[in-house]
Amino acid sequence: MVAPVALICCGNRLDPRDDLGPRVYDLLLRQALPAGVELLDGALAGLDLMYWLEGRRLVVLVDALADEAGGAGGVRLYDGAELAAMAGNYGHGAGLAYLAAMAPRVLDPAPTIRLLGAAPAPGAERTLARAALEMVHAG
Amino acid sequence: MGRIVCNIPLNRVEGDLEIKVAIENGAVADAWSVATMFRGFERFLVGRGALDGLVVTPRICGICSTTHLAAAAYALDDVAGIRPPPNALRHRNLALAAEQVQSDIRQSVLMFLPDFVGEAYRDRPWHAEAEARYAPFRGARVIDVVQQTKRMLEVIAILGGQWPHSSFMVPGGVAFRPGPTELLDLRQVIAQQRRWYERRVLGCRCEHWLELDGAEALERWLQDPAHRESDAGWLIRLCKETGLDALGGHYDSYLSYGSLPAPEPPEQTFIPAGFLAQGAVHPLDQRLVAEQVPYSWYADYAGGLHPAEGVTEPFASGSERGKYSMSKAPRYDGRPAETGPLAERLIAGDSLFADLTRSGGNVLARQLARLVRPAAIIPQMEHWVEQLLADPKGSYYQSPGEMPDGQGYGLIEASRGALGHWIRIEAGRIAHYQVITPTAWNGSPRDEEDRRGPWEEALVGIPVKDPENPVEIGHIVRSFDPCLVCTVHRLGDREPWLRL
Repeated sequence: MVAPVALICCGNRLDPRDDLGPRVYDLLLRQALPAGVELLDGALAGLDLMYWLEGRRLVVLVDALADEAGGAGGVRLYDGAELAAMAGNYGHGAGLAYLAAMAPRVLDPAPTIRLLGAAPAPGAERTLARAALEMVHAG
Repeated sequence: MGRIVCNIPLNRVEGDLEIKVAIENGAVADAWSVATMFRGFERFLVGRGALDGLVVTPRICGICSTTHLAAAAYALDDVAGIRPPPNALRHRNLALAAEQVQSDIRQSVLMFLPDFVGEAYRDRPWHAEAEARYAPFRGARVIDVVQQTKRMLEVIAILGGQWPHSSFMVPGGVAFRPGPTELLDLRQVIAQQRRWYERRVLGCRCEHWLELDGAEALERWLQDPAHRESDAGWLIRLCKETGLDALGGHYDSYLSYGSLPAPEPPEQTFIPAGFLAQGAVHPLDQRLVAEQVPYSWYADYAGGLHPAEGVTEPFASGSERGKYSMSKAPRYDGRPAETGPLAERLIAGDSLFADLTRSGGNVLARQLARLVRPAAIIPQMEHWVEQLLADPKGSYYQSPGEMPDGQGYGLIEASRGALGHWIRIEAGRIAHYQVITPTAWNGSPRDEEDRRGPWEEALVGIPVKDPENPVEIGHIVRSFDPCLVCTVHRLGDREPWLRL
């Protein structure tokens, strides 16, 4: 039985432009999460994350955003439809947008998907971790 | 008719690839493969701990991270002079095979076949049905493949104890010993994947497919409605309908590093190694691999350098002439070579694929070799699981002791072909690391003798019906399954060029 809520932190911890998700993961790993919430390191996986979406009620993805999308240190929230609208055709680089586009087509029931992101900035991982925790607490 | 120069960025590859072609009199007169990003992995591995390649290199690529992990582990096995126990080799092989099977099916159904749904084919009688099956996001086969192939990950997750970016392969074996419960789970996942693959993708039993020994046998196979309606059947028919069984050949030189080592002596690989040129297969000798840079944005050096001595020094001042790619030009014994599933089949002496390429390499043979590769691999996966179940006390690890200084290499067949890691360790640290990926072979730029890379050469001479929508070029390059994130790593400027 999988936890109904998954908090999946994505990114490349070897690349400072893309390591925000892994840094949020490291912070949350040291904290008590609400019952029914599973924390996962999504790393560079895109479509392969579908495996971890199966059977969930809510999936919160955490990822770094490009500067122009993430604003100045703020947190940006995308719902599943907004994320899916950014998807291009499948390719080796198919990422979270393609995942969000395909999830409602291949999973029954499909989870609600949210993406929390921020541009890399000092302290951004703490802001993002707080936002992620609030979201999973709210359920 | 004048000369038209088109720059064609191909999307749906990992990282961006740009193909530049000159079209004269309705055919490609010349072609250039432009990798637009610089990779830095070899440079930032230098100075790190001897084992760090096990953690760093799987992050070169999200698609073939297990294969990079294996190449890194093989290289360290070689430095330590150790051969892992048979069960460790089975364990590694199972994870590698799972990654490859998933990639082969996804690339074929989610990337290659959707190219037949485009506007260029709207007037064909099969278009509506092809669209219902392979349209991006909504095609019935697209949805089914996304649904089913996620199961293969369970194999890697079970064997790796972690996913993604598992680092369970270590010098001397693997870091996790599966128990009977895990092995029975593996058996179940593989059996389910086989049933689905045979029913929907291949259209017949794996063993039946492997009995096909030539083009005539394939034609007979295609007469069965269940075969015709499988993805393999559709691939064959669409390629023939569009003439792709006669397009996309090049030098007819092929390279395989070999893969999936036999657990027990003699030391063979399930996928054989070798170099095929002028119809003769030669034993692989990795000392004959070298990289040249006359047309690559790297500081020049004379001749080619073996990767054990290779240099990765980016050089793009803007004033150099002739250089056009961030990919180096790998050569085997001085010659360009195609690598990937077709090369594997030809080097293995497969009579079906020898027959299909009798008039030269082509898109149909190249793509079909990829889609049917699981027919050989899945039964072998079942065999390895049964061997592990029958040997519950066998070892999965032999300690190499403290990692010694020295140099070594790890060679493997990734989903896209020959992948090599070369390492030198000094004073317990990585002093030198070089990676040559399959896409560097297939998508290489010209070399010192001005010979084009394989897919550049494959494009020359092909007819282009519509220079505004040159689908022929897309089919040919896509059949090599380019994966540019493995080749290069920095996004270049985008221009409003044609996009396939």
